[in-house]
Amino acid sequence: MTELIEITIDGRKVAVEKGTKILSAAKELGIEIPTLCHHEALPPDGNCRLCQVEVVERGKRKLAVSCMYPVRGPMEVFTNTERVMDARRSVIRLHLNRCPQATILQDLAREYGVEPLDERFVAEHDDLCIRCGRCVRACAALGNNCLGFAGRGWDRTIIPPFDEPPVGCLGCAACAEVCPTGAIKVREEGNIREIWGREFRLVRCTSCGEYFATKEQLEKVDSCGVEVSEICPHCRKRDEAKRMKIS
Amino acid sequence: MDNARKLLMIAPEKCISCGTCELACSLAHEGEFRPSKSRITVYRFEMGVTIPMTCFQCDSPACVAACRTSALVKNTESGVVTINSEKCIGCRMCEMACPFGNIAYNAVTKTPMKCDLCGGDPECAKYCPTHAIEYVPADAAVSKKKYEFSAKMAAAIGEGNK
Amino acid sequence: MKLNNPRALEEYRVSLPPKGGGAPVRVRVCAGTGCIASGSQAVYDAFVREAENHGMTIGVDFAADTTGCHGFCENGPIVQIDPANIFYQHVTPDDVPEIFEKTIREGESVERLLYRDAATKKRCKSEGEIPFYTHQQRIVLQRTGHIDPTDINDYIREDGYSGLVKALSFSPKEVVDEVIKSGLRGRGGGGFPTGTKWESARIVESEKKYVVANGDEGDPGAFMNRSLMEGDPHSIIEGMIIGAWAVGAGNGYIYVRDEYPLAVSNLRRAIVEAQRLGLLGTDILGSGFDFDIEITRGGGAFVCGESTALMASIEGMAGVPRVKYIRSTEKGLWDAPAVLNNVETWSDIPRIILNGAAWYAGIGTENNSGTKVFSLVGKIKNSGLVEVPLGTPLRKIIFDIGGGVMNNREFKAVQSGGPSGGCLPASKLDTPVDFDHLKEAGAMMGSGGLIIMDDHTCMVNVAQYFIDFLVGECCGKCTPCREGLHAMQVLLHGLTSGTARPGDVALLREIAESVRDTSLCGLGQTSANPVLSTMKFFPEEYEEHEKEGFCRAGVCSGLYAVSIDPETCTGCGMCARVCPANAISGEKKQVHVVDHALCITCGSCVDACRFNAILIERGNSND
Repeated sequence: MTELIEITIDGRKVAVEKGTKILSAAKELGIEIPTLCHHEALPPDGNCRLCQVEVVERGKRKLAVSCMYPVRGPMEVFTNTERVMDARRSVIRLHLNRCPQATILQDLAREYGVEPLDERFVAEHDDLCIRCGRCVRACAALGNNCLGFAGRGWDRTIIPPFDEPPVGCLGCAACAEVCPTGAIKVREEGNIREIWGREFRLVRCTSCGEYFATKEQLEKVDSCGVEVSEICPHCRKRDEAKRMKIS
Repeated sequence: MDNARKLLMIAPEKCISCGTCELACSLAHEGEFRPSKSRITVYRFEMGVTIPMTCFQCDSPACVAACRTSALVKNTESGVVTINSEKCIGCRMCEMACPFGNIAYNAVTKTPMKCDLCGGDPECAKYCPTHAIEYVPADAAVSKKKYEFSAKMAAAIGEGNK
Repeated sequence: MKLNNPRALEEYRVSLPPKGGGAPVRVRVCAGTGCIASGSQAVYDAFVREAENHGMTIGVDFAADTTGCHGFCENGPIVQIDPANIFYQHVTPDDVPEIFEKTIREGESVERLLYRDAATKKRCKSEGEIPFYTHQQRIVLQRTGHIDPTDINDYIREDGYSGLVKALSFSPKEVVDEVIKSGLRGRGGGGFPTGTKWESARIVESEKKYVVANGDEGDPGAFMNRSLMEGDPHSIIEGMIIGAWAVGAGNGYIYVRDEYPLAVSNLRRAIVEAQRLGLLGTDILGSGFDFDIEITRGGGAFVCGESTALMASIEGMAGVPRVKYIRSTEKGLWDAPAVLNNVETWSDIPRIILNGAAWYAGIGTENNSGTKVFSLVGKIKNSGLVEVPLGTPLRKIIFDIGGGVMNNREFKAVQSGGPSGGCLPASKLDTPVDFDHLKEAGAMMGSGGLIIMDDHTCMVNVAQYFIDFLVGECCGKCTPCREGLHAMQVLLHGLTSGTARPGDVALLREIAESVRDTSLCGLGQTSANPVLSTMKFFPEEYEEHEKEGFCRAGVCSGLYAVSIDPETCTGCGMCARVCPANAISGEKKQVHVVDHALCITCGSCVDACRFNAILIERGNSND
């Protein structure tokens, strides 16, 4: 049996399993903590630093990132003190300074009353990438590992290996789906889908003729032990209905 | 435990093609009457022949096998294949994997759409005026019918693949 | 030959020939990196050649050894001669014949090669007479400079591996307790009690455990770990074996930066020699305990000195820190418990075990026992490696040992603890140097770098230097450090170039504080220290840079004007000679003048003038 530990968040009590992260514990109470790099499907990384809370544990009061701070014993957590708000505001401001155009950051800035830094600090106005690596972790979760960090410090970026069209990419665009700022562009025109500088030819449904997936996507599904056909999901459903009609 | 299990039983011969199930479904899940966002689809063939199609909650689901982040799970108790949309990374593997086309990906909400039996009280069954869709205990009779059906289906797929 | 039990080691020790193979004369040539850079290898070769010229047989009539760092790097190459106990400095190959004639043949010293004490004007014959050494207490550095680091026998002769023998007769718990009682705190800078760390790893049950030595010294100007690894590698290895025994580790890693090739090769050789004697490997000294060490070479990223980044790097990943809410003594290397200590901490261990915890606890002050090695650099007369008991006042280190500020300029600040540390002003010179007092004063111990700055140092420029360094070394993983350091860099360059806007200093402080509070790793959290500590002690300089565009130290180009004080100018012409813009003119022995229209405010004249006659004034040189 797993050990339950009772903690207090913003004055409310909740019992959670040992090892639960503060972010999940707060969620159980319906307390919202803003996040950027966090994604439920992916291992936490704690890099965006937005989900700051204040933790009082064994007599010490400190700032912590809630997405990674584990509940190990009794503790008190505060999610809306002035110190927490200051920390979040400064993090938002620094993010905004990198990606002034990101709507999610603009919304956060409005919500938290953050004034952006002046022009001197902005390097590229159209940079949307906050370097949170959700795309990197999503691609790794799929077992493809086509993305990684390159460079360091201020010059850290996310690229496919050698910044070339990624060989192992499926063109599934999960990276773009998990990106919190929409920094990853997917272009789809006719039978071509382009992502990370690589063009994929789309497979045509043998039934209706619509382009519906990349060959690589279907192969990947196949490799999961699932037989896959070149019929699009729509037609599969209709065909199935047809079969039921006959039976 | 099996007694507690309930299944969606669809009797196409009772379906009158009214589409109420689609509306009920899309309203419950998306908050709007929009058949294209419904997890159940009514296929209308020649006069009087209509087939409502939705997820079979397969025993060994292809979608679950394809999901890399455990966003899709087969609930061993209820038998339902459920989605935790927070754990979905939008790779669409499930959509490609389902042999019956019963999962669609909603790019706007970034969620795969599939029948979740409305958490145990399916709207489609509730509103079907002719009881063509029923939510019934998976007793022996139903199971038998289900097995017969799947055997037929397996044969059909086998043929299709040849 | 494997030593199968402790007695075999003792017999081996006794069977060793005396140092230098029993030759009547032994020359110790410093082969620390500093001395090698100033040509000590050629000096060593000259000794060997000269001995042959004199018909001597090496190892019989005469012994010449290259040793680790002697510490007095300012005056290298250093040569010491035993048993006459003579200390020569600035030795060149051309001096060697004379040393042979006078010292080795006739036992007299060569006067001009002896150190001359500036205060007493007296020549010092031996190490023990030189103030630089007399004020030190050398425990960690006791052997460096005396033994040949490439010969395990030299180490064994000097009680080497006796601490291990004693530790193996203790239970692991007893070893840990001894370390706890000694009061030893981590020498890498954190100052965490070493024994407590060991205990938390010891009590974890795990199939695999590791001990790791951090030799990734990356602070600009710091070289104490380097000298230790180069000069006394076995002490680190012995300490690690003891630690592994205490916590139950089977493998150890020494993480050394690849820029330290001599440290890598000496450590590598030491490991092979220890393995050969059965001091590493299976069934160490017949105890049934297995332990071995590997070397991991770091690629030179500063952030790899941070514990989690270092471990990621050992694992073969990019050296990027991880969130550390679970201690590495629980989940460290490959998710197994790992004890990470600085190489100096490891090196302290054998002697603590051998001499007992009480002996060690008696050195230094309460809660800060033992000694610490510092590298004393910057505008200081005696640059070098210094070891003092904790609690020694800064003033003693800088003035008594270091000999004071170069060119007798005024002391302005000392930067302690590397880029993550802080700058302390003259008012803090009486601070006892230990973990707690330095922190309280607004700096930190760090791994032990002390950079001395004189009055021709602009504190805003110093902060900018360190922030520039950190911008280059930041891994970029977390937002505050990646974005915040860059923002601080923009602001600091604005201040030092005279383009700052009103409110920039306040903004700089705000960003620095938030970087400190919200960054992921130790590097990020301390990366604002150069700014925050200079702001704390030199706020007026920041104000002047922002509001007046004035740099009182005469460093930030364009933010000051120079003139020559007619009272103090001797007309030596030095300033005119170094001026790249030909802006200074004057007759010999006459007061010189600066042509402001030509002056580019490079500051060369300020550095060059030995009479402090160059005055820094407000007003742009182009006015």
